[in-house]
Amino acid sequence: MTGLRAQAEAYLEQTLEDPNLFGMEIELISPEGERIQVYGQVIYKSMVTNDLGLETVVNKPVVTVRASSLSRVPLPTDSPRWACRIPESPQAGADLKTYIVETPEEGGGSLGIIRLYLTLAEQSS
Amino acid sequence: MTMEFRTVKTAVVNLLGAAAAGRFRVVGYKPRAMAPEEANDTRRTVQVFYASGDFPRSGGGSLGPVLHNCTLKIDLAVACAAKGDLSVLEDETATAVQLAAALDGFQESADLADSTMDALIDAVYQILMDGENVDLGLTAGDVSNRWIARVTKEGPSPRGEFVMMNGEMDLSFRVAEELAGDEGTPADPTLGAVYTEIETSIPDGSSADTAPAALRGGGI
Repeated sequence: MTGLRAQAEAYLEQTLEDPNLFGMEIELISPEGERIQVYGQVIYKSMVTNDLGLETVVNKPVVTVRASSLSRVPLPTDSPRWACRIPESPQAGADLKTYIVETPEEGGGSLGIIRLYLTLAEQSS
Repeated sequence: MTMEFRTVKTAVVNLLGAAAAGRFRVVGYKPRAMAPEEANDTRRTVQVFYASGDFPRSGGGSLGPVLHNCTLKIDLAVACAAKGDLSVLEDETATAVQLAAALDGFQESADLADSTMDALIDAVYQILMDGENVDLGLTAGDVSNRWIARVTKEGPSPRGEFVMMNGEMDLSFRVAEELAGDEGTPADPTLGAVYTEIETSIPDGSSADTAPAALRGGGI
């Protein structure tokens, strides 16, 4: 990674991870049971197009973290899936809610970020 | 007088709603008050639509009852989250081995949606094809030839925090439709009031027939 991309990656500490800006506390749990605490961005709502072609807003958290802050990067082929715990809401002091990482995706090719698409995890009966 | 297929559709909604017992929710069914634990899973829904009907022509068809071969579309939908031992993942003191075991034991939402849909199809099929429900909850002879000819389901798709799956069931049956004629629409009571007002305001000797025709009839 060189030039502008390297510069942008270096800035992620401020633009993505700074808890005084958009950085939120995120806990990842790897398939081996390792807990990884990082700061990253959480977008809680997503715009989707339904079967009728209408756009609707749904609860679909998408987490963006800096790849270099992780000791191990989630891969789409990982089995079992990773777990991801994020604040229930963007408000300070919110409880963490647990999700399963449905698809990890390397964002922007080589910009050094990973996007995690999550599905809700529930206690089995 | 409503057509018979509408009565049967309502009967199917009521039959499924009464037999659901918290396993799924029937759209349009007005349930009795139930305890929260009875309705703990409202992410399985069933909706009944009238999809198509054939009217085979017969000799007396233009005067007497008409044969109606109907198909109701039973729309099935489930939404599932991943399920597993969440308490371990939320336990700060859990060891790496325990966390790995908990993650390994998680059932993925797409897999769960598939098995949940299979269970829903199983339940709805068994209710509708139960020998006791041969008349779909109506008087014996009102409906005949009840049959589920086809079941389809579509692959799971992520929707928000959940994974959804949709399915369809074709329920066909035969009823006799009475040709009662169109009832029209009820008269607009405000027009009747206007007509009365006009009539009372006309001096003696005049004819109320001068009121506009639509008002004289009090309706359409």
